[in-house]
Amino acid sequence: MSRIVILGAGISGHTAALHLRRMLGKQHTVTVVSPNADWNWIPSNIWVGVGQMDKRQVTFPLAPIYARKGIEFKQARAVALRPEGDSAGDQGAVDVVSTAPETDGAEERIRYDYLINATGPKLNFPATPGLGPDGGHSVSVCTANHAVDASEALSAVIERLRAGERQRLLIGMGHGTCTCEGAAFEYTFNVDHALREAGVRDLAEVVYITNEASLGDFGVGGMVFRQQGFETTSKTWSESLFRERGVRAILGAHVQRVEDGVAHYEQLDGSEQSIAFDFAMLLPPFRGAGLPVFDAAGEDITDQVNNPGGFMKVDADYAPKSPEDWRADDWPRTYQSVGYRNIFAVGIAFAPPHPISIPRKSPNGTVIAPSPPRTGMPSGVMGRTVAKTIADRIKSGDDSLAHTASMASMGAACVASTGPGLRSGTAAAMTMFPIVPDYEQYPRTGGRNIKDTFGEIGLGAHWLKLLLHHLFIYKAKAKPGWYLIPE
Amino acid sequence: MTTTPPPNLDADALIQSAPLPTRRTLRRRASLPLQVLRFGVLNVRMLRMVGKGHGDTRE
Ligand SMILES: Cc1cc2nc3c(=O)[nH]c(=O)nc-3n(C[C@H](O)[C@H](O)[C@H](O)COP(=O)(O)OP(=O)(O)OC[C@H]3O[C@@H](n4cnc5c(N)ncnc54)[C@H](O)[C@@H]3O)c2cc1C
Repeated sequence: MSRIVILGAGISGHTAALHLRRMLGKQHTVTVVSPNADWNWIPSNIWVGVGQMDKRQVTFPLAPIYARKGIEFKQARAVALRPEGDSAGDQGAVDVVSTAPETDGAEERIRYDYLINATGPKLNFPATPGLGPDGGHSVSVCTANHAVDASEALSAVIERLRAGERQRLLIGMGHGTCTCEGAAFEYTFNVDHALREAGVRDLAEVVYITNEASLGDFGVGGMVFRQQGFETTSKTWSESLFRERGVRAILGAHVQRVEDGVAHYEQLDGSEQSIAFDFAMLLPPFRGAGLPVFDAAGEDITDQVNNPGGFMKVDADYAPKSPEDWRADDWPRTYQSVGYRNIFAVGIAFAPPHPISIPRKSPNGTVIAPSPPRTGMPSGVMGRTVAKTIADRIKSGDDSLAHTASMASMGAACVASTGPGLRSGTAAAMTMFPIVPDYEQYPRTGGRNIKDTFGEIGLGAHWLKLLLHHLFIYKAKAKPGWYLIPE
Repeated sequence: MTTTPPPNLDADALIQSAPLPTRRTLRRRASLPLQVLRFGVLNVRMLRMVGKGHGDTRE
């Protein structure tokens, strides 16, 4: 009998838990540790953030689903990892602290045979003074509750616009090293749409502030698309959308601090500037969960297991390299941790070997460089891949080869969709294959397969986003046939 | 870290010189019959990408 413990019930951890339960007999225990009682389909938080969806439409309680599937659920936060065990024995263990209302604060040490770290991002608002909804001066859409607050702030802005006041809405990245540009891009066009629907767009100035050196970079170094007989770039494609919608942009920016109604930023040319705002939705940079790690003697070995950003090191090539030397092979394939065959890190929790977009510095030495995105689709695939590896090792022996899924051989989709209705919405859909460019295989088209890398704007793309919303929530609820829906 | 060549940060100028969709393009993006077709095409493309990238390999 084996016990598999999964830390985190987000896209990657929940996917891994459901697959493991399906693949393993009931004599094996699958335990999920996660601090929130609810599951959240994070991509649709964007719609909550403009008041077009209710929080309940993007979240649901995990406990009934885990009870139905035979998965043990501990509503708790992991606080320390002991991969070599402790004085009581050499079985790996994880220390958790309960976050459930009835046992809040209770500590427990859980032993495991296999551990999956799927703890996602730690929202690092403190990296930028004044950033964020908790004591700061900007809103966020990273969690469903943040998105509810963002929607209320946006409604207040719309009321002031209706009263004839001019308003400036600043949307984008709250730090020079942020990732998830696609989410801020999507929120920008949702806000634009909401303002148009309210009939107040002409009095509003919408400004997108980003750490990308050019529009359309999305932290993946941009894309090459084929459109109407031409090869074009995601840069031109995005600039065209900004022009059509009358959205302004600030490029290559590191937000230094946010004060009440004003953001201060430095740009890649070294200039320091300020912009006043009436509404600001600024995403935070991400850190890893940064779980402290101890050896059997209780010595701190965190540095051997995690990188300085708190992400867990896996089978990637972490040797420092200049961008010309980056290779597709640098990226991890098995997500097995460094040093421990029975620990894996998936989704945002694993430490990437380097960025995908070329990192830059301002003349003052400020790093203004998008971090590499690890979006929903690859996160789910990693969860399933690691589940297969563990199931094989339990069933066929610990020397079974690991299953693999590299970001250099899988695709991703970003559908920036506005409007909840079937007729009223529109969307800008992008897909790329692979996520990490492979210049050896695709030297002429930006390192990607141009047949599977495209951008398209229209109502059809909006329907695709709605379809994905319903499909993924159906899948996450583990309803009949859920496993037939690809990650 | 790359400090040269400096990127063009004049976003207003870049955006103003980007191609503006024509009325016909905007109509096509909202046209029901055409978009039903595009929805089908998008689904096929997504499935093809998923088929390629979700395939399983071993170490
Ligand atoms: C606003 C927004 C919009 C997005 N839109 C898209 C999109 O359109 N398409 C797309 O592909 N991707 C999108 N993404 C990215 C996508 O949400 C992430 O890629 C995905 O959620 C990553 O999955 P994950 O499992 O690594 O992390 P998460 O889904 O964040 O899950 C992490 C889990 O770990 C738990 N946890 C944290 N700390 C601990 C701890 N110490 N112990 C135990 N559990 C812990 C958390 O509570 C959570 O349950 C978006 C992201 C944002 C913020």
